[in-house]
Amino acid sequence: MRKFTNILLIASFMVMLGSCKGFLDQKPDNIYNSDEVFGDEVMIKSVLANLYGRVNYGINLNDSYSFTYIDEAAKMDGGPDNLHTYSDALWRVYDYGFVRNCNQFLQSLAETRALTDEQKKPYEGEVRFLRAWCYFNMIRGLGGVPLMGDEVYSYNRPEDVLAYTKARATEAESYNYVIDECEAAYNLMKGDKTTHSARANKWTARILEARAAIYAASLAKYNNLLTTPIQTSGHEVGIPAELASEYYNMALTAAKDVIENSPYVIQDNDPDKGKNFYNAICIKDNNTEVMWAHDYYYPGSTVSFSNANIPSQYKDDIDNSYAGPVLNLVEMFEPLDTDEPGKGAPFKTKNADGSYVFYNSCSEPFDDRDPRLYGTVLYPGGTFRGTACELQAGQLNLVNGQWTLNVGELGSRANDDILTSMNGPKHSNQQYVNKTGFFFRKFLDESPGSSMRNGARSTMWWPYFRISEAYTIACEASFELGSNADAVKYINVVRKRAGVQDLSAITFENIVHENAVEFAFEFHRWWDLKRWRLSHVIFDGDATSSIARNRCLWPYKVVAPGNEHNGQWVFVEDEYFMYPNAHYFQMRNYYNFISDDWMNKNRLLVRNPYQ
Amino acid sequence: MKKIIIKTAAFATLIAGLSACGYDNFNEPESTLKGSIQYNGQNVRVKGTGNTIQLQLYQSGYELKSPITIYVDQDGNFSTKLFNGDYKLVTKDKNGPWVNNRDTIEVKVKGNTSITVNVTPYFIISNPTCSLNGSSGSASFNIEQVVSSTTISYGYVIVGHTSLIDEQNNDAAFQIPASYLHTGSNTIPVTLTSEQQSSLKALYDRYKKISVRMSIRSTEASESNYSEIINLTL
Repeated sequence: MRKFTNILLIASFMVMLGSCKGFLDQKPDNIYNSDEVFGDEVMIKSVLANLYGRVNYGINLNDSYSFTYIDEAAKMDGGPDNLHTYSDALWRVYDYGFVRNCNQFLQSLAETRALTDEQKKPYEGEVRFLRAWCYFNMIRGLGGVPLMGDEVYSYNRPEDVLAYTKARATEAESYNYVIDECEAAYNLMKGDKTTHSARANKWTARILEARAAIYAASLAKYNNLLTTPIQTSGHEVGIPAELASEYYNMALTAAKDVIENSPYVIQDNDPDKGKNFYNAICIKDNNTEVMWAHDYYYPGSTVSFSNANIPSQYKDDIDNSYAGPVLNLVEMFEPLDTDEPGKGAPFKTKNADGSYVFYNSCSEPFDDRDPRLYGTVLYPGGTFRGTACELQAGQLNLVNGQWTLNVGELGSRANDDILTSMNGPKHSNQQYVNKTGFFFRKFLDESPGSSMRNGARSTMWWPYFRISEAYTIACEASFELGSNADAVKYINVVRKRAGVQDLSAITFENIVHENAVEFAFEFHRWWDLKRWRLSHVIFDGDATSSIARNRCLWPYKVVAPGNEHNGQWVFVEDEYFMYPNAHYFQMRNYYNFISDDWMNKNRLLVRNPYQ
Repeated sequence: MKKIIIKTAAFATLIAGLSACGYDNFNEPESTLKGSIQYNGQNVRVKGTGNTIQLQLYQSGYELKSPITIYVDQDGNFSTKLFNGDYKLVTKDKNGPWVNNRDTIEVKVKGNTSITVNVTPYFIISNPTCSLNGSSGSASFNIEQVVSSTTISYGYVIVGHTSLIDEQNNDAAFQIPASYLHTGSNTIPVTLTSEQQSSLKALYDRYKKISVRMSIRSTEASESNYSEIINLTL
């Protein structure tokens, strides 16, 4: 027994000694220190690629539900969505991890000898732009945020923590920081176009500068027009009204520079205006429109948007019809033949006496609208992958001299004709069926196999900035600065490409309208309505409001042999049954709440209004 | 010798095991804090759904400072279970239909405790009545303006089949423009379409109850002042 113990002791000593030789102290081969990474340009680029991959905040082509929060689109999948109020943390960004990584990049870049000072400049500009973009996404949700500068903080002992905590800058200072950083990045970067616009150049920085300035300007103006402006005592929220014109001027200068000097031009090379608009936003090759996008490629980086939302008729896999546009958006697109250009109009479905309005084809009401509708929404009879999209809720039959609506199962037939088409729309709580009467077209990929669940999927890009935004910003800034003639000049460039009538004079409502239809689904409207302080007016929670409630429009084919209307189409408008509640945007939704968790970590933070 | 060691070890483990049970487990809070939001001794009625009106309780002396949220019901009452101790109660910023007042109320919770949170509402709606005869009806109520500087933004007459109704949750709500409303007694005529009439009748037949409530929104507030709930007899 004792002998055994001795052997055990000796053995354990040996093990302890052996470990000293470094057997377990191998240097990991998958962790690199700063000198190793920044000693090589290829490695520097891969760090940069990581940063680019992390800034797609908000609506995302891999998250189709994110398209359904406002009056642009709605979920069709499964049962009703009781969405009513908005979360205090919706689209809240507080990405100081990203800011720190940018600062680490900048510090290491300054130290490296792998690049000359001249070679370093564009990299520095790119990262400062990305950091400004991250701050911009924080600021538009939260108001003023702590501005951490360029320092890379390191932790040695608990007392250090107090030194890293910073109070929130004012909302105006925060926007100024973004604007100044963009200005600096603009001067550091080159102006050449990049492959698929996936990397920023000096013009990307310039257009972000314009967008930040127009946000700050409209906040300064429209917040102070509220009965009780939203503000905190330290102005962490609330930009003084007197700064508005200065910001409008900044926005105009930056936007004009982009329009006059950048290599991007409004894409207008297809005589089919609707198709041209789709191509300008959704086709990467020879694109002159998109200034910066989150690009996707196969293999490795693809999106699920087409897989989720493709009409059943074209599907390559099981999934389809997850969400679709609502009538609220569709009727914003103005009629081509109108006395009031720059304004949407409802569809005429009933005559004054209550009888149906008959249309010659299922696409007739939509074909006469702003061609951007074709490029944005796949409507009944619209062409996708070379064939017409079938959307038919049912038939209108003549029964005992009375017009009667009949509906059936998906893909059913009656009276030697289609009763309900295989796509829908149908009143149902099933998945894979259309319910609003419309499908997405913008961002829906026409290439074969784009809607596979696995495999190829879609490589549709996500544009952050398009050149037409430079025109809408220049238009808005000119309008607010009192130059209606200039505003008209800029907006008509956008409208000419779209294929609608020129405006001769412009109102604030025209600007709101133009932004809504030009940038539908592009994550503009949510922020535009917020900065104009219109969200609580439009999404007022009133269940009887035709604006706050989602609505749908269903096509029915007239099947009544012998009748003069046989073969024509009627449309039925209704409140969208999948959304029993009206959108209700409360005053507190204008700014995200400051998380209690952040407050616990940083005692200097102050809460937002209504919090 | 060996036996003693084993016994000692077993005993020590047992003690360690037992003592662990008391150290990191708390009993659930047993004291109740009840209260109401009042003006001149009368409850201030508010929207009761959607976690709309909230109060916040802070307790100092701990590392983390996250508040405990208290939800106020539509009659202006609230209650919560707490540990005994000293708390600080504050309203949320511009949260209710009253003049914003963020003064801290010190609350000592010991057993069952009651408090009153005094606020200055913009409006008080009193004496609500309503009647319906066929398609024409009326709603009358008295508006008292408490804050002289404020103005009416709009009002609502709200109808529903449960007692939990407000501007957003209801079966029908009729918005009244500010031009129809004034301080003192108001009578608002309501005309129902035949569709509305039949759906109201159907609701009444099904639930045996129709509730009505009025609200007034001040231009300065993000929430409305509400009347009490009354029943409509058909």
